[in-house]
Amino acid sequence: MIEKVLVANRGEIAVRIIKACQEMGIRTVAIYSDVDADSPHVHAADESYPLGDPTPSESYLNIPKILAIAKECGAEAIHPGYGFLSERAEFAKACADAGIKFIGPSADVIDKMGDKIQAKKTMANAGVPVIPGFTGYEGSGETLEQACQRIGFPVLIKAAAGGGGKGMRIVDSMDQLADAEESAKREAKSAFGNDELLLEKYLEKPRHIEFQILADEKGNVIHLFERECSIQRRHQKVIEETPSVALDDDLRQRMGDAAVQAAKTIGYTNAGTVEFMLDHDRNFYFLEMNTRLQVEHAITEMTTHVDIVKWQLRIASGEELAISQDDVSQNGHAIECRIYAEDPEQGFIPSTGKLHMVDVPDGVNIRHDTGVKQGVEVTPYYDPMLAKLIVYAENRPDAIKKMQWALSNYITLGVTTNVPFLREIIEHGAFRGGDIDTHFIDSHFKDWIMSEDPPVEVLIAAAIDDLGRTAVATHDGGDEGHDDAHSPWKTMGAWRIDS
Amino acid sequence: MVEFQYEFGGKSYPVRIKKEGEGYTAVINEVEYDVTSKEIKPGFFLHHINGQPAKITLVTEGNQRHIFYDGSVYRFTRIEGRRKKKDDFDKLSPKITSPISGKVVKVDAVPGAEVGEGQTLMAIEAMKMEYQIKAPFDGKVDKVYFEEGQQVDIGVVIVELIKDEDTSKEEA
Repeated sequence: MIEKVLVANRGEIAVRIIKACQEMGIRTVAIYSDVDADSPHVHAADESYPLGDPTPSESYLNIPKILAIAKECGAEAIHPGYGFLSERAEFAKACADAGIKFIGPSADVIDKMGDKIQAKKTMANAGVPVIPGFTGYEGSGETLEQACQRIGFPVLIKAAAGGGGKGMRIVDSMDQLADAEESAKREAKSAFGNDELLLEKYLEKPRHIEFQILADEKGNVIHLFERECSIQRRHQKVIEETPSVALDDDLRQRMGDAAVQAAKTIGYTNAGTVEFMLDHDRNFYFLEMNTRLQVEHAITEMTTHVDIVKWQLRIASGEELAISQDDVSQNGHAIECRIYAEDPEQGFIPSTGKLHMVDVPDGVNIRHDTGVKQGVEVTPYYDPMLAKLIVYAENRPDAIKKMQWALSNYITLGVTTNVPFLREIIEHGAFRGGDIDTHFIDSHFKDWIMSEDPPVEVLIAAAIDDLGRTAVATHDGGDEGHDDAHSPWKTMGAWRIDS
Repeated sequence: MVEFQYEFGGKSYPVRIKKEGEGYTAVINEVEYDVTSKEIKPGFFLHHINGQPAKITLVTEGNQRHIFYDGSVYRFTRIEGRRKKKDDFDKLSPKITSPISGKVVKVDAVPGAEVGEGQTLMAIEAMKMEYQIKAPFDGKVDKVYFEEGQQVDIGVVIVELIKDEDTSKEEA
């Protein structure tokens, strides 16, 4: 077994990995940029080393710096988490060259799947269904315009190198194409250093269903069933659940087989995820493969009782998978809500500031994976996801009720979060009915605003607090506030924070 | 009675309050409430308002009040002293501020150029996502304060516009 692991990440996933290592008796090393010096992942690890400048390219994306630390502290392996360097083939290769085990698949596999064009070709050749699209400027001589005409609008443009919704644009007509292309290229270039785009048929009302894979280095591959991740905003997942109400046993088995086939075709090793789109007629198409641990891996852990991170570490240590496909089953229902520091009333713009108060619900089958704590500053440097709230129950209705309770008791003050928005989704009739697709938020929550005026309880609480801090109670006689004609109580309605 | 004014979503909410024995009397919109308050732990309170319990979590940050009650977060400002009525058309201010801290990746606004409502003025990137700053009304670009590659902070004026003097339409 590996004895010392450097975790090349931050936030909740770094904490999650560090805990798994510690439970297995593996020593852990954290790295941190200047703004993260007081973050939970730094305190959780056995050792920690500074990266300096918080700019991602200078810190969590800086391969020479990270490898130098790994060598200096004697780490045998590096766990990249998700995001940052997790899907950079050059990093996996640099690790291998430095004699450090990269906890994930080989550089070659990352490369094959990281290029979305090549990935689709590979999968199509292996007999895995793919969405009709435009897979490259080379060879066919076809232009983006011609491809749009062939496939038919709407189409989806996306970064060939990317994921996470970056560089993605939906184009409804030819006159939008040039603008969308330019903007997507710029975003792709900035996020991935590569502005190559691909294009595909935009499916109406599709569901996003993915399968978790575990593959050891001896050729054994199993799947840990599906996760439904259709609730997305700006092409990023917000709520995930498993099992999916859209699958029956037959479809589940066919998709699971396809996922295992996809992994075997490319010689995949370690944990990975095969993402599919499922259309209205229950046809499924290979979307992409994420060659890393996923944010939403926890819901699979809850329903299969398999610890995915521990298996990543065992597989990287050369151990054989001790569980076969027949050993794995799905039990109960799990839901995850991603807690983002963002303002749903203003187009999900990330919010920053100090977390003055954090008090999260605790209870039976409630899991809270967090990378922040009370008192820390949320900075604009990294992804706005603060934590993941995961609940498990015997069935979907009970899991929804538990999540509703948990969100209602989830307190973060100081930084605007999406918690009230998550609650409204969970309480929405269509969500409860399982009638969801990747356009759910756009269809039901476009221009959403919190519809509540401050209740009397809230105003009184503020006034009692202010009275307490007012040493001498002098009144300046400001009458304007209770002039009836201008009373806000007569003009109550939907409000929004000034834009 | 002491009066406090809170501003919330552009509206002002006055609350009058006084200490009354162990508790308080509060008046909001001419309705009187009997209140008791108990601090459970720092920032966590159990209030009883006319006998009804209300669990409150509260944090203050300068004039900002952050209150969690019944599953929702309310964030508002305490207004001290007399204050001018808030301009309802504040959001149509010709001074365009950045809604986010990030890096300017594209500048479309050119001083002197005419822009239409909804036209992109600038693109700012934060947390690897791009946000387009659009003109809130028809007008002319007066000043552009940032160029591509510069870092911009939330709330900072990035572009100034001159509103079109539209005499054909009645005042909103």
